[in-house]
Amino acid sequence: MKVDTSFSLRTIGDIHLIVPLSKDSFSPKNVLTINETGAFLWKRLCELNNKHPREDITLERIKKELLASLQTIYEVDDKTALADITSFLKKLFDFGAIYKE
Amino acid sequence: MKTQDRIFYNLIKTALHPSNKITLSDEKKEQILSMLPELIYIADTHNATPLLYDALCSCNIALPQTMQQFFHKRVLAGCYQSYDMIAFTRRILQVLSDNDIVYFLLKGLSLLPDYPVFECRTFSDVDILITDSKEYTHARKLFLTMGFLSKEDLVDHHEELIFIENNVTYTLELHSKVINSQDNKQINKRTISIFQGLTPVKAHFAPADIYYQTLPPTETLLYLLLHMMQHFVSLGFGVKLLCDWTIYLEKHATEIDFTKFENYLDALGLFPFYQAMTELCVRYLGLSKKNCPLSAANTLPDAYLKDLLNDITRAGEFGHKNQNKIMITAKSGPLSSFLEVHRQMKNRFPTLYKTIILWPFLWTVTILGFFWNNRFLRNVNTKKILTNTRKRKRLFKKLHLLKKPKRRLP
Repeated sequence: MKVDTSFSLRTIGDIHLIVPLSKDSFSPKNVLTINETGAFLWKRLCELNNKHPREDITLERIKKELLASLQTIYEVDDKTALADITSFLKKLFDFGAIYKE
Repeated sequence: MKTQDRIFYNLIKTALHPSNKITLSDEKKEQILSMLPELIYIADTHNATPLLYDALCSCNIALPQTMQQFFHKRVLAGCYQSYDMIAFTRRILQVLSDNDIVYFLLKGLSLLPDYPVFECRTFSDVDILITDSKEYTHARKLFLTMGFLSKEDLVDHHEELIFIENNVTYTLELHSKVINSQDNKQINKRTISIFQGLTPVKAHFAPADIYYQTLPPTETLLYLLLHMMQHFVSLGFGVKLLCDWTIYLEKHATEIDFTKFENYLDALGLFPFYQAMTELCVRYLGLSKKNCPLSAANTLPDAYLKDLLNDITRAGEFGHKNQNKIMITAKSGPLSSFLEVHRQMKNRFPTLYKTIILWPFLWTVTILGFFWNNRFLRNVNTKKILTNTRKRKRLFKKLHLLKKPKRRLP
């Protein structure tokens, strides 16, 4: 899985958005509103992507890394956290912000 | 100065300087919450709601849910507009660079990189300056071929071209000069000569990966001041332009040639205006004095600055909130009023005015149009407008605006 680098996280006050700012056209449908946890996971995902630019990181590994990161700041059990991470990654995938190489 | 104005400016100052973290007492937070409707009204009239919301969040003010929902809706709408305008700007710049047209992107997107959160600086049109007349005509033709439509406007420094797509109207202001002609010919001539023949500076707006050409920093600073002045002598301007001034000076002070800038100010008679605007930003928006070396401390009385800020606050964005205003001229008396009518007539009838025999008729139509617009469009009393104009003229006197400058352009 890779992060499409034309998407960026924007934060205005407590509003977090993922926007394909480098794309040529814009439509409000091209904006994904996420919560604070989503913003945290996106940042972690981008860090992973930057750390391994040439590597296609497997979905399982991404989930594992995100789970570990999430549990360092939130008190959440594995099952709930994994469900949230899976749902978040699916949203990103459907939105086009992450893709399979 | 009203309490809500003071709080509003303090919050805007916080949004412009996120690194200067402030901790508010519970009492202060309560006071802000109790004044939210007034603060929202001011922000709304200045198109500065995202700035206000960003500040409220960074001050950890717990908003009631309904208020939060209201802000979310407004801020998101502002963000969508910003992203849409960024995409539109990209398309405009692409056309210009594909055709090797030398242009300068004015304000809009070119100011975004300097803001802590660029979405807080809303903009609704693209301003392009093309000083070479052949290239201007070429660019104009290109846009008209692409489906842009020319919109009639009462100014002589730019042409408004609109583009309609998916029921959205986009505006491109194609400038041949930086500002509209003022009633001092010398100032007009000098302004044109300053901006003629400049070499564009290349810049990059990283969040959207857009490369563009803009004015060099010293001339950008001058443009920002001229732009403020132009709106100030017209219907007024709002807090956004003061924010631009603060942010630009803070980010680019080291790149500005202040000796050259001072010469520009002297040649255009803008020094007192520069000092007043800078002083306002220092006092109310947290501009650091070290970033504005030309301003002398406490040159203007506190009461005068408060009146000036009040004029800006009540004006709303570009004076749209204050209908009791008309263009201010440098001199007063029947002759200056007549000259203003003549100038308005020239703007209103750019082709017909060339036929001198029609002038008496065109003057009459212009005057009647003024009364008609006041009565039926603006819904205001002409007498009230004239009283307010006299009040504003007193404010202008200290700024020596539009007077004959003493020094020449070096």
